Amino acid sequence: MRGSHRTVRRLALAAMLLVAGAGAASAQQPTAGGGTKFDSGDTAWMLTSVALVLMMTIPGLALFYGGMVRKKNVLSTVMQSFMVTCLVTVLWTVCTYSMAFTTGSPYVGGMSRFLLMGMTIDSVNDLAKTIPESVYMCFQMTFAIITPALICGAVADRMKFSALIWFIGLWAVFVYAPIAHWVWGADGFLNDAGVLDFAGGTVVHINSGVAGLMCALMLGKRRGYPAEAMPPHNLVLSMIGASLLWVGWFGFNAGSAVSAGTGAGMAMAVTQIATATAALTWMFVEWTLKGKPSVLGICSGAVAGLVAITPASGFVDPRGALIIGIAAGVICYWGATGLKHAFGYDDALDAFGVHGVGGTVGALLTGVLAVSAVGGDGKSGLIDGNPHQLVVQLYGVGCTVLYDAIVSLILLKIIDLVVGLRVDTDSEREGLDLNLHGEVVQ
Amino acid sequence: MIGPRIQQDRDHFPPNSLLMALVGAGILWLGWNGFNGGDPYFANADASAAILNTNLCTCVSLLVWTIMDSFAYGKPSVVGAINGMIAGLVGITPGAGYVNGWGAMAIGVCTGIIPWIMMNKVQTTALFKKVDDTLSVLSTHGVAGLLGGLLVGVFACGDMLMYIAPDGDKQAPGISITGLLYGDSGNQLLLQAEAAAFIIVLNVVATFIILKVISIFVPLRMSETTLRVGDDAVHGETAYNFGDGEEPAVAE
Repeated sequence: MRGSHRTVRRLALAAMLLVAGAGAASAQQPTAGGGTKFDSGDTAWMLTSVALVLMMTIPGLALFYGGMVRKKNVLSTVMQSFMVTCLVTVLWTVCTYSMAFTTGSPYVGGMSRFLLMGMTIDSVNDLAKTIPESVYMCFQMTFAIITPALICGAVADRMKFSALIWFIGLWAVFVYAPIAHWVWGADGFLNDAGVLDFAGGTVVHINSGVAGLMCALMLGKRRGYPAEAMPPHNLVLSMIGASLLWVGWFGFNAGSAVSAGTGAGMAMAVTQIATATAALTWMFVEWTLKGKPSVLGICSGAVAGLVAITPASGFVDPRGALIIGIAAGVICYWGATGLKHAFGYDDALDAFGVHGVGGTVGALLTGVLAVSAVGGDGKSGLIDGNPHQLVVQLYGVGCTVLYDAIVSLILLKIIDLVVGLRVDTDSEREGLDLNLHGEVVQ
Repeated sequence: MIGPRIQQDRDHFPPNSLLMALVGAGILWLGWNGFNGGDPYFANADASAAILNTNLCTCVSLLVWTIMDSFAYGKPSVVGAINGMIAGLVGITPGAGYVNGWGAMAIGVCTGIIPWIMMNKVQTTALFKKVDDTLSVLSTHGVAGLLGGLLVGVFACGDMLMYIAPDGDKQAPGISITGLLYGDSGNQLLLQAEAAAFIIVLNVVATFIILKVISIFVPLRMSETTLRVGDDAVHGETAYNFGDGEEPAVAE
């Protein structure tokens, strides 16, 4: 057991050095901001956004997921979000920020910010010229935190905590950082191709959703699924969590404008519109098909809307937001019910059904509904006379899904061999809280 | 128009989680700083004054309500404190940017006493036997809001103008409200009363018509069975499933 841990660690280290070597050759320092005049309004808004987006994971997502599981697994679920927050923060400091947001190659950034060396009190990242790099680094860190935390929804109730730590750590390095670089890095190849992703439809949601699906496939179903009903143990917690996600999402989308200006204002407006529309749509669809509008349904619908508007939030107008909301409500409802049942995988808390499917809906509809009146010159989609954008979006989605699926599968396979992914049957029956963490809620 | 809850629910209705109510109350209070502090539409001294007044009035109202509870029932209750807090927040809302600190505290004393009397003495009388305002929205919002609106006409201080639009600052049109206490003839109080009366009449009439029209198409009240079962009958789910979760939740 210990030997196998060491093997994994050595592998990870070797790969890290490889990436470092590749990056160092072409690494460019982000401009040092000697005497740069920062915009205090922008900086204040981005500081606020950091707090809002962090709140989405802890406690937002932790409560959302925690309320949905059975009582015996609630602590293990909230623990996952909390642990991911800590782990990703450390990794971000060590290397993933550098790999994602410095210039290097089109596929991964450089190592000029390894251990955040070179990030001085007044340095600037070229991607955000009006705020200190420290603020930009923290802002992007909160995105890197919530993405793997979302994956935990697919593994609920049955994954070993140790295996999860390994998976999240490796995934943050080998999947999140490169994909964030592709889409958002100044020299990323998807950025070059013109893929529009305002706040993370591909990087955050498709990414976490697909990884979640891979986890669900590799782990297998929860014991007793789908024959036994597994009702959420506390829907009030889930509702609070969903609400915190919604509120925090203003930092996520409006913060992605990286300025306190017109772009942020419109992003906030379309976020609210799409979210409310999707929640209502989900509620009415469920009401029609199943006879009752459920609390979990309206909450899931809201999250679906938030996810789908994310890539589009800087590019569409309020009419576009209404359409995205309706599409997200209908299609994600199908993703969390019809699609899941048709293929029989156990995506316990619908990480793929809502985030993977919703992210895809949003990324593709961005290619349809983007208007240059909102996003600026060249940021237009099908309805604005640029049908080619839809193809570009499809390309972005395809690259993300493919890379994410393959690398996640490889990582999971390796971890399964050396640590084992799944808890034993007895632990699963008694609950992960008691067996993995030695505590229970009353 | 909807009618009261079924008798068993009226006789015995302990809150399902006081802790949850406290959390919600805290978030309301926090958010209310944005509600009142955001109303000047820019970050200036009047916004600060509004936030200070909001907190002053709420604190006083909560304390006064709790003291009323202590005298009347012998114990200061958490539910009472929450109600006092809400009444204070509602009461200061119309006047947050117009009154000074003393005015805010005075409004807090009023919202701690008058809605308390409304809730604990008036709403329990025979007159209200048929009106079941489950969470006393009439007292904490209706009465406290009316009170706050009227008291603007009493406590509004003309000097607050210096915070809204300091000399030479053209950001705000010169809004200055002066109440009875600061030399107004009562004109402002009359205006406040007129506005309140207009809104109450319009609201009562329009709300009545809307409910009446809806009730033609969709019955307003849930069936007796649905009322007895609750959440599970309406939404197909229950809030808490504290079993070990291996067996499906069964509705009564």
